[in-house]
Amino acid sequence: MVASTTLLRISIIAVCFTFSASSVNVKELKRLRRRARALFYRGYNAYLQHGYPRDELQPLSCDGVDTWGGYSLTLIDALDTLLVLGNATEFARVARMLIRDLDFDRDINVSVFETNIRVVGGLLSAHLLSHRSGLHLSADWPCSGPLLTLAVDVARRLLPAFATPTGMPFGTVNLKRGVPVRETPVTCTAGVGTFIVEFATLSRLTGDPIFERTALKALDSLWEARSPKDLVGNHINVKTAGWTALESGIGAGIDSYYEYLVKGSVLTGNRTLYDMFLVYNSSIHAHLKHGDWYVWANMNTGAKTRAVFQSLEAFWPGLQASVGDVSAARRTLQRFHSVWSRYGGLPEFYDIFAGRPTAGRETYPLRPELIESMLWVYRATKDSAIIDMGRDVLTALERTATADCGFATIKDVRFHSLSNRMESFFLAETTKYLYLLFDPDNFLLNNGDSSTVVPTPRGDCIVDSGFYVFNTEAHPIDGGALSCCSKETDVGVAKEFDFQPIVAKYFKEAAERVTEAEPPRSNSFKVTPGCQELQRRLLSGGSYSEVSDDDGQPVAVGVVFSDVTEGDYSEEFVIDGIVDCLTETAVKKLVGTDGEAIVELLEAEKEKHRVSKTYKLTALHQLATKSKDPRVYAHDCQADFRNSLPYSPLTCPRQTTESRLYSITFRNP
Amino acid sequence: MTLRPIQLLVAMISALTVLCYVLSLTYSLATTDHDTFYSPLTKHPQPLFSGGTVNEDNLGRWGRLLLDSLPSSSTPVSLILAYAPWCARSLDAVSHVTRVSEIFANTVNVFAINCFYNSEGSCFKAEGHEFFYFPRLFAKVRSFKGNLEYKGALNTDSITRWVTMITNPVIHITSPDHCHQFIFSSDNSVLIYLNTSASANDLLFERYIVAALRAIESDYLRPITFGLVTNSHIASLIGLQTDGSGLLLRLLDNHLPFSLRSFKDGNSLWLWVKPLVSSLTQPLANSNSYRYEAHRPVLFAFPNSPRLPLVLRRVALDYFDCDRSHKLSLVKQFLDSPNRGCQSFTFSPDYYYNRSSCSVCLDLSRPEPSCHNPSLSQPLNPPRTTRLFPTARDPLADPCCEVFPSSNADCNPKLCRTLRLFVSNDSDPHRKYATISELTRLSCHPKNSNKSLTIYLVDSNLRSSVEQHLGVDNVGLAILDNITERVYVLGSAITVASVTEFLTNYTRAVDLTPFLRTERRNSKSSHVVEVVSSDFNAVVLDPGKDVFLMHYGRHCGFCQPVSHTLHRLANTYRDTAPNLTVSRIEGDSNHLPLEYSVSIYPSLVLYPAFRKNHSVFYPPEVPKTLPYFVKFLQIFGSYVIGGS
Repeated sequence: MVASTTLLRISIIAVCFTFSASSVNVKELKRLRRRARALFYRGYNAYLQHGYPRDELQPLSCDGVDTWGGYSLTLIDALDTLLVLGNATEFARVARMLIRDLDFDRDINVSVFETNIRVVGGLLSAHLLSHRSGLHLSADWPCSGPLLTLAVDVARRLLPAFATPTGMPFGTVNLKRGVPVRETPVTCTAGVGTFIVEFATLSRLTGDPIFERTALKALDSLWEARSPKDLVGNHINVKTAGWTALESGIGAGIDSYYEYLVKGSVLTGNRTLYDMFLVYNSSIHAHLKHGDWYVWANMNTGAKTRAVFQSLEAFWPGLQASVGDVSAARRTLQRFHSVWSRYGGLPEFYDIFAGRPTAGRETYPLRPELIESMLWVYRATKDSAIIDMGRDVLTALERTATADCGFATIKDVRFHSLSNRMESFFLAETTKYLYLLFDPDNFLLNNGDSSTVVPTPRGDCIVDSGFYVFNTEAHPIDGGALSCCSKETDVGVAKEFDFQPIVAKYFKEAAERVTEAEPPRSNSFKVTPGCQELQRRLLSGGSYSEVSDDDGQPVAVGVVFSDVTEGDYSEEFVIDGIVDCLTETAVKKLVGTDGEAIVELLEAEKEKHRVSKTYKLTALHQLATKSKDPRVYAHDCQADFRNSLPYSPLTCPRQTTESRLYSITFRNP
Repeated sequence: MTLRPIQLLVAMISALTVLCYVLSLTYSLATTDHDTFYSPLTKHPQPLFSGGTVNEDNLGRWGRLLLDSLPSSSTPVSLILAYAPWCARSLDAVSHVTRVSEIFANTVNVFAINCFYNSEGSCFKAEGHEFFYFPRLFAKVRSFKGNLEYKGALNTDSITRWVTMITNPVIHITSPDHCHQFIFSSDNSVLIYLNTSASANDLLFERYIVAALRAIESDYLRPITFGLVTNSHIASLIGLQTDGSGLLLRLLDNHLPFSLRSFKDGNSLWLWVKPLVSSLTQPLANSNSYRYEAHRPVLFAFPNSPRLPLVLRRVALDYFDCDRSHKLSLVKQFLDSPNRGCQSFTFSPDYYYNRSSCSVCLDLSRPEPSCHNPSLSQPLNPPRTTRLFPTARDPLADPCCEVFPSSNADCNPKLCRTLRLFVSNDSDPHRKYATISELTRLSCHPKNSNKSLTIYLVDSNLRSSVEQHLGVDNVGLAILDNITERVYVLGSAITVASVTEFLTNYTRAVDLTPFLRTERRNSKSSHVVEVVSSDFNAVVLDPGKDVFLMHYGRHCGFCQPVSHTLHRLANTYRDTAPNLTVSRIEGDSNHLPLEYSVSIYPSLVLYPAFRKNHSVFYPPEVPKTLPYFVKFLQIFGSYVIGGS
C-alpha cells in the first residue's frame, strides 16, 4: 500500500473556525449521548419487534416490509452501530444469527449500488470490527472469517453487472441469474463510481484482485466520459458511455462518486483517484459553487441550471474538511444548517433563491448527511457550536419523527406530517453519526494515537490505529487491516524510487554548511528606525540590510540568511519582521501599489493556498514576480530544491523546511 | 435476641420489597429522563410553558400580537417569544423566559407563541418574511411603533438586563453629582432639559424615548445613554437653558447642541446621533467584524471580571488621548477620585421606586470593599443556567457573583455592595502614572501607527468563538497582530498597571513572548510518541535519539494511513532500535517556532541523533510505506537499524 505523495495543505490561521480551545461540557455530552442512544434503541427495538425479518420497519402501521430483496436489510445495516454504542453482546448475537440465516443464492433483482454500500459494506465493517465483540475469530483473521465469506459471496453476485463494454455496471442485477434481460443501460453516476472502498477491501483481504480491478475499471471509464469542463452529468448509458442526464451538481446521482475518489485514495494509496478528485474539485469551485452554496449546471457548458440545495448534498462539508478545506467546510455547513433551523428537517430539495422547499420535494426521510458533515467538521475544528447544531438535530428528530413504532419519514418539513417508512440508514447512519458527534472518545474517532497489535500467522497485524474509512453508508472499514493480508503493493509507482539524488544533494548541502564563508555584510546602508530592533537581532546572527534614500524612505531591502548557530535567535521573528517592514514601507513604495491591494492579495492567497505562516512570503513573491519594477527581484528557492539546482545560500534560507519557499530581494537597479 | 426462621423470612421479604421499590423508583426516574419522544406535533402541539406568568399560545393563533400595537389594557412593555416546539434553543429559552416573567411579574406581560405551526402566517407578517430560525424574542413598547428585537444571549441575566433597559430607556438626572456620573461613565451620551410641568412636553419626551429605544436596539451591550434633566439649576450647569434643548456629549469629540423640537420624531433624532459617535472600545457583537481588520492589530478584552471593562476604559483613555484633551483629563480625574468612576448594575425592575443597584468602582486609593445600598425589594436568585457550554457568565449583569465566587451556585444579590476594586498594589502612585503617560507617548507616536490597536469588548456569547479563533483559553486580554499572525495574551491580574504595561510592551515590541498553542501531554501509551509544543525540545531535540516526526492535523484524511504506517514502523523496531523515536505532533493544536513548522500535512521530518541541525524532510515524492520509511531511516539516521 502506498500512501504516496498526496499532501494536504493546512488551513490558515486567519480564516475562522480552524482551531479551538474551548472545552465542551462533559456532562452535557454524556446526556446527549444517552439521548442519541435512546433514539437508536427505540428504532432498533421497534424493528426487531415489528419489522424483522423483513427489510424495513413501517413505523406507523407497526409492521415490516421487504424493499430491497428480503434479507433483513435493516439488521445488516444497523449491525456495526451496535458496536459503536458499545453493545458487543447484541452485536455478537446478531452476527451469529446473520451468519446462520443469510443466503444470497436467491432469484431476486437488487440494486447493485445499494446492495454494495449497505450489504457488502455492512458485512465488511462487521467483519473488521468483530475482534471487539468477543465473537470467535479464526486464526487467520482479518484475512478470513464467516462475515467476510458472506460479503465476498454477495459481491461476486454483483460482478455480472459490470460485464459491459465500458466496465460501468448496470443499475440492477439478479443475485442468481445476473443482469435481467431488457435491463436499462442507463444508470446514475454514483451507481458507477461508488465501489472502490468495498471492492478494494475485498481484494486486499482475500488476495483476489478482481474486485478492485473491476471498481477501478468503472472509475476509469467514468473519468474518460467527463465533459471538457471536467464535470459529470447525473445519468449515463453504461453500454455507450453517453450521458443521458447532463445536469451536474454535488447531490443526487453523483454525490458518492466524489466521496469515493477521496476515500478510495486514502484507503488504497492510489494517488490517481485523488488527482481525479482535485480536477473535479476545481471544476466544482468554478462552476457550481455559489457563495457558500452549491448549485446545478450543465456539464458541457457550465451554465447554471438550478439553484437548488439537496438534502443529499449535505455530505460535502465533511468531505471538504477531510481534504483540508476546513474553513470553507465550516461556512457551508452553517448554510446547510440554516435550512434545518428553519424547518427542523431538511427537505429533499430546497430552492436557494426562493428560500423554500421545492414543490413536491418537501419530504425528509431522516437522512444522515448533515449530521455526518457536522461530525467531520467538528472533528477538524472542535468548534463547540457544531455540538449545538447536533443537539438541534437530535431534539427535532425526537420531537417530530417519533411514531408509534420507531421513527417515521417526515412527509413535509413545513407541517411535520409523517409517512409510513423508516429507511435502514436511520439506524445505520443517522443515529451512528449523532452518537459519534457526542462521543469524541469513541474508538472510531481515534486519531492515531493508539493501536492494537493482533498476532497472526503472517506476522503482527496492527488494527484500531484510527485508520477508519467510512463507506457512504457509514460503515467503517479499518484500513490498517488491509495491509495484513496482502503484500505491500506500490500501486501508482512505476519503478522503485531512487533515493540517490536526494542523498547526494543532502550531503552536499551539509558540506556547504560547514565550509561556507561568512557572507559579506554591508555597513554602508542606512537603516530606518522601524526596523532597527529587527536589525539589531539579525546582526548577531545573519545579516540584513535596508537601503534608504536621502529622505529616509527605504528603497531597497536585502535579506540574507546565513547559517546562524542555533541560539536565542528566532527566525520566526526575523521573517515576520521583514514582512512587517516590507508591507508597511518598502513594498508600498517599490511596487507602486497601496496597502489595500496588498491586503487584498494576501487575503486571496489565504483563500487559495490555505497555508499558515508562509502565505505572506508567498504573496510577496507573487507580487514581486508580477511586478514590472526592475528593482524587485524574486527568487523561488523551492524550485531550486525541486530541480536539484545548487543551493544558493545568499538568497535562500536554509532548506531544511519546506515552509521557507521564497526569498524576496528588493534592490536598486 | 434470636429470630425464628419465619420472622427472618418476613424480614427478608420486606427488605426485598423495599429494595424493589427503590429499584423501580430508580427505573422510573431513569425512564423519565429518557422519555423525550413525542407524538407528531401537528396533531397536538403541546404547550412548553406550565402556565403561570407566561401566556402561551401553543397553537400559533396569536401571531397578530407581533403585528398590532399594544392594547391599552396591557402593561407598557410586553415581551413576545416566537418559538418552534421542536427547536432545542426554544426549549432552552423556556426556563429563562419563565424566570424573566416572574421577575417582571407586575410590569411586563410575557407571551410565548408557537410560530412554527402558525397556519395563517400572522407571526411573520410584521417581519415581512418567514422566520429563518427560532426562537426570537421581541418587545413591544407603548409609544414605539413596531417591535424591538432582542439579539443577545438567551439567558435570564442578559434578558433581564435588556428588559430593564427598555423599561427605563431614559435616566432621570437628579443631582449635579449624578450628572457627572452620567456623563463620565459612558463614551457617548445624550442629555435633554425638559420642563415637566408643561403638558406639551409629554409628546416631546415620547419622541426622546423612541430615540433611546433605538439606541438600545442597535447596541444592546453598551448603548449610548440617554438622560433627562428636569431641574433648571442642573440644566444651567451644563449649559442647557431652554426647554427642549439638548446636548450630544462625545468623549472623543466636541459636544453638539440640538433642539428636540427640530426633529420630527424620535427616529430622526436617532438617525442624527448614530453616525456622529465613536467609542473608545468597540463592542464585538458579530464574530465576523474583526476579521476584516486584516491590516490592523486588534485587542480583545474578555470581560471575565466586572472590573475589566472599567480598567480597560481607564487605560484606553490614556491610549487614545493623543492631543491631551482637557475633557479626557477631566474624565480621568473623575474616574481616579475615590467613590467615583463606578458602574452601577441595576437588579430590580422597579427602577424608579427602588434603586437597588450593585456598583463596581475603579478606585485607585482604597483597597477594601465596602457596603452600599444593600436593600433589595425582592431577592433574585438567578436559576442555574442549563446552557450546553460553559459560556462565561455575563459579569456585567452579575458582578456580585464575581466578587463572591464561593457563593456562585446561588449568588445572592443581597450581598450587593459598592466594591472598590483596587486596581493596583502599587504603593507608589507616581510610578504608576509615569507608566501611563509613557503609554500615551508611545501609542500616539506616528512611527507606531502600525501598532495602533482597535479595542474590542467581547460579548459573552461570542467568547468561545473568538477564543477558538485565537487559540487561547480563559485569558483577560489578547492582542492579535494580524500582520505577523502573532497572539499575545495577558492572563491574570487585570489592573490598570498591568494592562498599561502590556500595551506599552506591545507598542515597543519588546519583552513580549508570543503565545504558542499547546495541548496537554497525552498519557496514552503507545510505541508512537505523541509530541506537544511544550515537550518538543525534550523529545524531538533529544541529542541521543534519531527522531522521526510526523506533523499531522485532526481533519487530515490522508494522515490516517501514514499514522498507521508509523505504528507499524514503531512496532517493528520496538525491541531492536532503542535509539529510534517514532513520533507525531498534531499541528493545529501545537504551534511550533517557524523553523520547526511545516506547511503541509502530513509531513515527516527526521531529526538525526547528534546532528539535530541536519534535520531532513522525507521527500514528498517518495511513497509513505513501511519499506521506504526503513530505507530513509537507514540512509539519514545516525544509528544503524536493520531492514524490516
